[in-house]
Amino acid sequence: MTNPPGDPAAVEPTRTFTQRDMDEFGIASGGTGLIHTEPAYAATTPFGATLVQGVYLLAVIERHLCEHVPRWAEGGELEVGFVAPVTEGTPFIVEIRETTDVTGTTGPGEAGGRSLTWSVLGTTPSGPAVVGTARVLPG
Amino acid sequence: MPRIAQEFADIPFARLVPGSVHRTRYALTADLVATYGRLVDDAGEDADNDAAAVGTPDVAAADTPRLVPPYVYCTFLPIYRALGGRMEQGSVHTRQRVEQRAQAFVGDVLDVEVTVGAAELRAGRPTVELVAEYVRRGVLVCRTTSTILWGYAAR
Repeated sequence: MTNPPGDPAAVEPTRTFTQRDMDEFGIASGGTGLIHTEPAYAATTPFGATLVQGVYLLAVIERHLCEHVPRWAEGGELEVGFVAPVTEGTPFIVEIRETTDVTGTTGPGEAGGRSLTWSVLGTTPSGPAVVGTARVLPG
Repeated sequence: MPRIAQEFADIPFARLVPGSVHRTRYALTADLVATYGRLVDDAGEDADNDAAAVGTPDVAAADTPRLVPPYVYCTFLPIYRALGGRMEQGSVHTRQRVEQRAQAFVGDVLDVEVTVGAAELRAGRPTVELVAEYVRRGVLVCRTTSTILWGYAAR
C-alpha cells in the first residue's frame, strides 16, 4: 500500500521568517552575508529583497524530520535543491511525505517492508522553494 | 557600514583550490543548541531553551549528556573558519546533501575537515562544492556537501 496521492504525511504550520530571525541565524551560523542581512544591498540584486539562508530553511526542515521520521537523527541522508528564493516575510510551508511501499517488498531504501524514504517539499505562495528526499539508513 | 559586522573576508573564486583540505573545530555549546532550537521553532518566538522542546530526538536525564539535534550542522561558520574566509558576497546556495551518521552531545568539540570538492564553471557560472565532515572522537557524525554559485547575485 502506498500513500494515496495528495495524502501528506506531515504538513507543518506556515513559518514566516523575519529579518530579525535571519540576522540571529546568520550570527549563529555564519550566514551574515549581505544578501541575507542587508536589505539595501539585497534590493540591488536580482532578488530584490533579503533571502532566508538556505541552511536556515534546511534547519527548519531537519527539525520536522526529527519529529516525523523515526530514527532520522541516528542515521539518515537528506538531499535538497534550493529551487527558488525565499525572501524575508514570505510564508514557508514544509511538507514531508512517505514515498515508498509500506507493506510489501524489502528493497533499496526499505527495511522489513517499512518505508525509509520521504519526499521533502518546502513551498511559498509562489511555488516550490526547496525540493528533496530524505532516507533513513537501515538500523 | 553593514547592519551586522562581516566577520570574514570574501574568498575570490580564483583562489579556491579544488581538493584542498582545511581544518577547524566546532564546539557544540549549550548556547549554540539553545539558539538553534529557538530559531527553528515554528513560532520563531522565544521557546524553551531545552532542545527537547524543539525536536531533539532523545531527552537525557539531568546528569547524562544531552543529545545535539542534527540541524546544528546547518551552518557555514566552521567552514568559514577552516577556509579563513567566506563565500563571496552575493553567493547563492543551490543544493545541499546531508549525511547524518552518528549523534553528538552538548559540550562536545568536534573536529571539522573542509574539502573544496569542486571550483569550476558550470554553464558559465562559478560553481563551488564544499564538503564538511564533523567528527567526534574519530567517528564521523555528519558530512555536508554544499553547492554554491559563488558570487552569483553580485556579478
